[in-house]
Amino acid sequence: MATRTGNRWGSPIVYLAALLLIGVMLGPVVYIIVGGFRTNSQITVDPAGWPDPWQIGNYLDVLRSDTFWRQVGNSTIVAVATTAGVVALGVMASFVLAQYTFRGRGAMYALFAAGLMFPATVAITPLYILIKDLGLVNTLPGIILPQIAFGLPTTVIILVPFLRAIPKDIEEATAIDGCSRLGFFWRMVLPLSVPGLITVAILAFIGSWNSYLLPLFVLNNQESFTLPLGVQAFSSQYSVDTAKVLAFTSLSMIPALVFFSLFERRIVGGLTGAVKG
Amino acid sequence: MGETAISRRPRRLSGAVRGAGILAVALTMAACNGGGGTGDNPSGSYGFPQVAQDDKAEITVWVDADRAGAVEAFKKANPAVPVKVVSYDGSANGSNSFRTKMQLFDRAGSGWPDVVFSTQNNDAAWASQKTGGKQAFAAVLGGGLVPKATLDGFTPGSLNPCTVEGKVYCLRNDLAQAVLWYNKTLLDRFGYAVPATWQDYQALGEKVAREHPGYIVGTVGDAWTPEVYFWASKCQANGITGPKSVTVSTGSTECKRAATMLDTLIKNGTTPNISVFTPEFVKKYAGKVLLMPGPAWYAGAIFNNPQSLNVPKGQLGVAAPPAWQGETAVTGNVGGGTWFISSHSKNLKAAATFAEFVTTADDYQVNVAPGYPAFAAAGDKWIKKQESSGYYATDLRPVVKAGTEIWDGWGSGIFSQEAIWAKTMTPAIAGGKSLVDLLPEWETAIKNQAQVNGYTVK
Repeated sequence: MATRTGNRWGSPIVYLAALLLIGVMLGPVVYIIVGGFRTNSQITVDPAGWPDPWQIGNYLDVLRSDTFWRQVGNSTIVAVATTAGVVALGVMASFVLAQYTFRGRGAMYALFAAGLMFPATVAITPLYILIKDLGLVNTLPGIILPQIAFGLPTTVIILVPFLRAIPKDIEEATAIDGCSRLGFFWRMVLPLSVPGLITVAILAFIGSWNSYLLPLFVLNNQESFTLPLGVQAFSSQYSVDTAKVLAFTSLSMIPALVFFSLFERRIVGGLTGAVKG
Repeated sequence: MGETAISRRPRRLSGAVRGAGILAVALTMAACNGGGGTGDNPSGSYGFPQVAQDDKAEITVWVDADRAGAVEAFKKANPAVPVKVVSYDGSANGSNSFRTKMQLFDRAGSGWPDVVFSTQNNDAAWASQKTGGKQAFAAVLGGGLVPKATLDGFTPGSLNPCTVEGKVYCLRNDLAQAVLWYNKTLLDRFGYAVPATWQDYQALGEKVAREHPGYIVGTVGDAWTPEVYFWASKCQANGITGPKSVTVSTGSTECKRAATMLDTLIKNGTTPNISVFTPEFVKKYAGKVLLMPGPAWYAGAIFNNPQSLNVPKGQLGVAAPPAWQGETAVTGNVGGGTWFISSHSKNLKAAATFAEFVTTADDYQVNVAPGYPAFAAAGDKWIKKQESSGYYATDLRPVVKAGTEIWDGWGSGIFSQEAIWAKTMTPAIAGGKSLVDLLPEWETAIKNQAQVNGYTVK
């Protein structure tokens, strides 16, 4: 076993590596945010430079635009509904797969596992036709429903082992106290699995917020565009308004960042299991 | 704690994975079998089957951000025509979104917009063809949908990229003919004359290298280098001879002379391998661009642009594209958008009115459009408007003339010549290789790309 050297601050190499890692992770985000305060001219002449002078205009233009707020609204509706759907359906399916033995359980689990191996890109044509047959083209439910479907495999794969870790003894104890299976689900399983639910909720929310391919194909109506589709408004035939793209992207990140930072501490808890025994 | 879920799982894992694999394969196969049919109506009166028409039906138009002004101008001039606008990326920067989405709508059997603007000029190659047995997306325009007088009013040759097997499938928005831009103030100061031939151009480049090192006469750093130099030299690198046939021969004298000239100018430093849209180019060459063969849109994109070279008022001149000695001058083309009318439109009349307006009307092409109009009458007025700004040191007639001199031996195939050049030639030039030596490699790359796209290559 390694012994402490007495240096309570630890190895400087670890700090250096950590700083490098943080730099690599935060660098692009800082570049995007700071870039939004520059003009296209500044970006062209010195791509890695500091804003001089600082331009607030790009951000104000985006914030004053009705289009941006409409797209924020659409993205929020889609992300919240997707998250709710993924979590609600995911936890119910996972509970059954985790807690009960029945014929076809393996096949059902395989069905969800198959979803992980099935890229949305491959499914886009039949998916579009299905959405069209359901009359959901150009509507937000046309995005929400497929996203829930594509979000379920990850959710189930994460939640099943998590829920399996809930001891059988607890269910037996609640059964003795007269609690039904549904009662056990509501009163015990859900409260115990909150960290896991938050984990999958964050994954579903961020995935939906950043989703580009599905909205690109399903939404052909300006009114229903989500934020990732909004960026294309700044590119044209022979040029791209890079500064505006950076400002738009920075502002688009904020809701997802807020959601993430509110719940990120729970992710660790979610991935380490519900009940430690 | 008793037996955990994780310890129980391995027994079932192989079965689960096997099942998942089978499912994935089954779903993938299902993905390949989707699609429905369109109810083609063979009674079309414009040379293609059409659906039942409704003169009151709203038309949906897809435009990029720059074309929003075109829609506004149309709405103002035609308030009775209901128009729904959808902005998309214009299929720019190789996104191919126009083609991909139309293929999706073909499979679904509905959803096509009525009019589409594309920043590309090679979309007619696929839009004029049936896909998977489905009717071609692009409506034939020359069968009465757009009046012959309108089609004849376009600058001669400008509809070539829209023409497949003699039929016109789109209207050109703007032309991007290559001309010879020059800095008149610098040329006068150095005592140089504007070169009339490519031989003169090379000689001037050599003189500049000796007498004024640091100044440049062109660049080869952009993907459209072949369109500027090789197209203008009648190099048969892109001889599209049919919807699915192409002739490629870069070993010809025409290709070799352009390559030899560029090798000399690259070597002496007057034609650097740097893109005009890079910070490095702006830093190194602002105020040092003596000559620049390039498309008409260079004027606004790099010369009269505070974010780029920012050439002061009264210095920028334009000359006709140089000719090869003893030959008639021809030139190349770098871009120029196109407007398509959907053959599936329920209101072809309104769609045609829209497409005609945005390509020919002064309200848009002269007063609003940022690029040189392909419609000749609008082009003349647009030039006069530009000249009246007082920015240019010369008149802009060479731009008009160059519009009629685009060599028709260079076609508009589905595959991108620019992508091929950027992938195979630009890195090799950066590595110090000679363009003459690279010509066979370029030919092979073009042929391979053409074959990948289903072309018969000669």
